[in-house]
Amino acid sequence: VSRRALLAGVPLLALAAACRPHSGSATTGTPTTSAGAPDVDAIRLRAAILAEQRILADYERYLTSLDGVVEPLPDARAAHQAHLRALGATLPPHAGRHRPLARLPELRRQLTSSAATLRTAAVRADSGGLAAVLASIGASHAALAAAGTDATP
Amino acid sequence: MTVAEALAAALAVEDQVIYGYGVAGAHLGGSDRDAALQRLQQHELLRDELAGRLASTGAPTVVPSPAYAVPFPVDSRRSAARLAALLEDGTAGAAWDLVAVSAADSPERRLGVGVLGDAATWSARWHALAGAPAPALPGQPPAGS
Repeated sequence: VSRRALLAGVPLLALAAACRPHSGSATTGTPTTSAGAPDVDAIRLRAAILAEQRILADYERYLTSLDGVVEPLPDARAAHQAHLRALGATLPPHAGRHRPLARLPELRRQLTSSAATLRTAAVRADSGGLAAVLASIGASHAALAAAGTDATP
Repeated sequence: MTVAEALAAALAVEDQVIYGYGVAGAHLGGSDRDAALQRLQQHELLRDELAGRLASTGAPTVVPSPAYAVPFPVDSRRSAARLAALLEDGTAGAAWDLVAVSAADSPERRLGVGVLGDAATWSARWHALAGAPAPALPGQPPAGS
């Protein structure tokens, strides 16, 4: 019986945290590499961190431009911060300082593009743990990009 | 956890999700009900795909229960959305596991990544309807598990 299955043989709908398995710590150690070969997973991780830092910086600059107007991408800041923590990275205090002010359509495009990149990286990653984190962040980006648009199911 | 175990776990989750969508859908109306029906059909297809892949590994199939008890009363649009969000989060969790245990570029890895993405998008929809934030990292096991 899987750890994620229902209470064994008991008909309870219990998709609760207590039933969750143990296979997915976020950054999951050092990506595997063969001797002398480039550590491609490390490159994937680094790319994901840089992209996330850029998105967060642009998003924060966008929020600043709103000046108190209702936030159209709810919980996005906390989500991006959580993504960075999952990638084992620190938050970028000024990463977007010299970039032009982001607008909502640009942010959505950025998220959509990032989601596709992360999905590809997740499929190709050697480390299963890294793959799961990248897939999850990509999924979150896609959901954030779709929030409040016609792309919402 | 092996790939076969992850497939079996995901299949077991799908059995629950399909049942749960029936419960949730009964308390939704209009476009929300249509969306739930659309998603239910997607989950049925996913269940069949998981069952086929599991069978191909030679592992025993997963037998669904005839009924399941939901973890909280579902008697309103909001509680139905909350249940649907819970179901999608469970789907995402099973997909996370499949991604984590499968080999790079394998069909199972691709399936897991795709399912995780779909579940996250639907989770966000239902969480919004329920008035709760969606998880920042869909499918991620809780700390300490």
